[in-house]
Amino acid sequence: MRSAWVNAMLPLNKPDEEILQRFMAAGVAEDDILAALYMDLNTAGAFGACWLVLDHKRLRLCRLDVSTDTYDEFELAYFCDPYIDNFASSNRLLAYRHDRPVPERGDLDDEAYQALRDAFCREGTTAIVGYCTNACKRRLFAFVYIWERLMRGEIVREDDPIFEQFNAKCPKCGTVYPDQERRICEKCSHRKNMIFRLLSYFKDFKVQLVTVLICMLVTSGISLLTPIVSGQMLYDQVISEPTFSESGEQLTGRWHDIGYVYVFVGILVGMALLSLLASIVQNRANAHMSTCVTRDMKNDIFRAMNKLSLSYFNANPTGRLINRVNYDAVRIRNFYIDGVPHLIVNLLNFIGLTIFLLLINWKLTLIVFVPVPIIVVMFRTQLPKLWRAFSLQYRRSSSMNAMLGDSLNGIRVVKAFAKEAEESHSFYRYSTKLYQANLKANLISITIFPIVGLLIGISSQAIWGYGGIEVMSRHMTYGQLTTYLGYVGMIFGPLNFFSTFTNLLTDTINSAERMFDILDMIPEINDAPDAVKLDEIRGDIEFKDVCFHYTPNRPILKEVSFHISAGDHVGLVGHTGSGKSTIANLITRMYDVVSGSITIDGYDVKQIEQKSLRKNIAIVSQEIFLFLGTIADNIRYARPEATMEEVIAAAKAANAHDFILNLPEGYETEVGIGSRSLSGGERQRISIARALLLSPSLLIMDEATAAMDTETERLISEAVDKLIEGRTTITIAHRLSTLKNCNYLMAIENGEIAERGTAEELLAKKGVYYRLYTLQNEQMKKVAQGL
Amino acid sequence: MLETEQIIKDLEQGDDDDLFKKRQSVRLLPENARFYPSAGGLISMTLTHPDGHEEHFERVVAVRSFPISDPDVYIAIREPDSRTKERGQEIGLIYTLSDFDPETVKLLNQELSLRYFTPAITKVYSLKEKLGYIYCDVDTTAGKFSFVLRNPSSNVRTLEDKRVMISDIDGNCFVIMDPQKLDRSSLKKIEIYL
Repeated sequence: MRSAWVNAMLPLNKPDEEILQRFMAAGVAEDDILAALYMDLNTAGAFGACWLVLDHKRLRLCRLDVSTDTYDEFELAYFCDPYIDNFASSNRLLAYRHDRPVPERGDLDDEAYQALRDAFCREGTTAIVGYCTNACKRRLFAFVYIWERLMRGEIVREDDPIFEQFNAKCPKCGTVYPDQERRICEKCSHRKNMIFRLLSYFKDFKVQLVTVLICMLVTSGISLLTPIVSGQMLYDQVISEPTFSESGEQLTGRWHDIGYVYVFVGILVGMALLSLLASIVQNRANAHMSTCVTRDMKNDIFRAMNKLSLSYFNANPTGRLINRVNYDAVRIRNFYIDGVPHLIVNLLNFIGLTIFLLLINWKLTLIVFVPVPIIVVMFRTQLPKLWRAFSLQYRRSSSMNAMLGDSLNGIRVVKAFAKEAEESHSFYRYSTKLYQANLKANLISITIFPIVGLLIGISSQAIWGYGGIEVMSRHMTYGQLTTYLGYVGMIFGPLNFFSTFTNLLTDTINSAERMFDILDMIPEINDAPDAVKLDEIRGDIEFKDVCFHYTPNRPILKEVSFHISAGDHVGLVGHTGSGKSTIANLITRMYDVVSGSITIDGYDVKQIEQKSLRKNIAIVSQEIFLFLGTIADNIRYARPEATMEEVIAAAKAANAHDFILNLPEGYETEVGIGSRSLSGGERQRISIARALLLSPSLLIMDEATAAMDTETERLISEAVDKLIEGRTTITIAHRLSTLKNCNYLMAIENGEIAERGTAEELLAKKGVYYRLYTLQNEQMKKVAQGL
Repeated sequence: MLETEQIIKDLEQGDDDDLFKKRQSVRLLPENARFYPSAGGLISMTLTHPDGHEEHFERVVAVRSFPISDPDVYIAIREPDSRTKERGQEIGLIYTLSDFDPETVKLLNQELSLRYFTPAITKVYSLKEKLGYIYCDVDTTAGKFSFVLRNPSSNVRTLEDKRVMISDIDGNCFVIMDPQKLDRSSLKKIEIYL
């Protein structure tokens, strides 16, 4: 009967023909398979292949362990409640095996049926279904979801939102990622593409780029010409006496006249000046271009980051993000400004030099190129060692900096526990490690480069020797020899550059990838194309079967449904981690629900423009953050256009006005990072004032008054009560006294609304609220009795 | 309101102990804890309380306190997390695994090695870097496997005892016990990331 609604296998894993044949042989036809799951570990937990399929016709779970070639079947009626054990890097799927089928619901109510199910669960034995690594984790989760739905007789269709995660598309070209678990678009993230894409940052600097290149060509041209002018012209033709070859051709001393000395020295000075001028122009052009390009890149990265949803920031430590904004942009800039032009110039230089050397004397050139292969081999084998040493140096210096930052940030704790000596000692350890790494890098570099120098030296001596003989036998002039030696000294520069260039390129590509990673990331939370703009929100909230989790298999909210009418003041109570703050985060759409829906004034939050949603909702969270700036700036953060009267009124309502005026600089007191002049309660009151100033239609106070004494809390709650009249307010609190003004309360436990009603009604229920109430009362009594 | 007062009165009489019940974790020794394989291939346990009363657990979960540096000490034995009870509570703590007989040690280690599945890389067949992702084909103590590594500077970590921990882009962990003991060609391939 169930098979009627199944048209094809659900889009999870698709077994290939061979696997299907094996299942077929075991009596499972392709049409009977509702969903198939590939697990990359075998039933013994080692790497292998194992397939699970749900046979919806016979209601069986079939397992084929390919590596051991074993096939098993489990009747789903006796085999239920699948559960995923999340290990560090693998996952185990378990289920309960029973002797009797799952009890029928009959006409039992929810509570009674749950009790019956719980009892049933306890009598079963736990059985292992299979293992997989984290690579299959999301599919495993979806498989279990389908399994559970199947057992409840519910329909899972191909277009179920659970499958969306397996059809992610590349944000740039729109192709579905070939490997959904690893979202790499082969088409878009091509190296060549990246290099050209980066060039777009330079599109406004074409003139500068060309100028830089021309200047570099001029400087390198001059450096190529100088040995010719000084050696072959000044020395050979001016300073040397006239000499003639055997055939009577004049070899030297063509312009053997004092006047020419001044001319050529003048030419040499002119060339030096021109070279200087070119490098000044080049540096000036660079300075302008590089600062602009870095600024643009940093701005782009920061803008893109700000658009990303909260979950991205939870997954990436702030330090790493700061690094991305700061260093990656600089590294990319360096590549284009220093790397690319140098590559061109060095390439041209190398070609030019080789031609010159061959022209002057091809036999000598052979001598020059004898050590070249040795030097290239040395660079190829030894330089990686040096890079590794440098990278070790970098890592050690960043861990030393991290330790230093940590210790200085926590200096109050250090002093409180009198741990100054230990901290110094620990710093000594880190700095010693850095010293060792530095030493290693230095030792390698002072070994490699002198050896290279020696090789070059030996080849120069050989050139002197062989060249001397050539000069004496009049095959070449002395000036040609000095020119030649000048060029030999220059040819190792490009060689050195080429051997480091690949490294520079890899570094840049890594940086560029990290940068484009952020620029191309599509925020998880996006405005729908047809998003509704709401100018005003009444504050009517409805949760319908809302499920939510941060990591699969650790549900935070389980099918939560409730309705808050506009103007209600609702209190949420529950243990730490029960899901209270998550409800607040979902209403403001910091995260999207996994399934179910949330509507505000009848509109699904996904359909409301984020900006208009957040403009109407103010949240005072337990994490207080004050930005760098004055108190007044902080209060009007959400509404910079607010007048001073409004700021003061909000501060008064938040009971902050008095303490602010007690500060010497009043509302103009600077606060923010590192400012320790305000107490926790004071900071909290500023953040309340910030929320009140927004004059929201919906106010969420998430443990907003937890850091305050009871008296201040009372004052604030009175002031807030006056302000929120007629507006929807959700107060989340541990301390039950905070909730006394609420119309009604909702107690949350284990991600479910356990109770709902007025304080009196909940007390009578003797449930979660009652437990919290008695616990807190007990504490108070103990305090009163002096226990 | 009257009802509230009644409840407070009830409370004063102190008949609500079960509301605040939390299991007290005990030290587990061969004298009070017996482990044996469950029907489904997992671990069952019987705990003998000081009063001689025996408590049976169909399935228990073993968790290491120091999974990296000292895996054989302070092993927590917990009730499994379940749908009805959410997080399982700790039943007790094994101070040193060697307190127990070899058979129990084997049983627990078998389970622990699955939970802390960290195959040791024994050979590197190929390492290809493409677009910042490093595609690795390796042989491990758990068989051949291919994984993708990203950002090696933060995902490859060398510990004090020469062990190298690697986590791939899916969050799977691998270890190289001592890179210097790998064969030459494997070491050469992986060296630059260490």
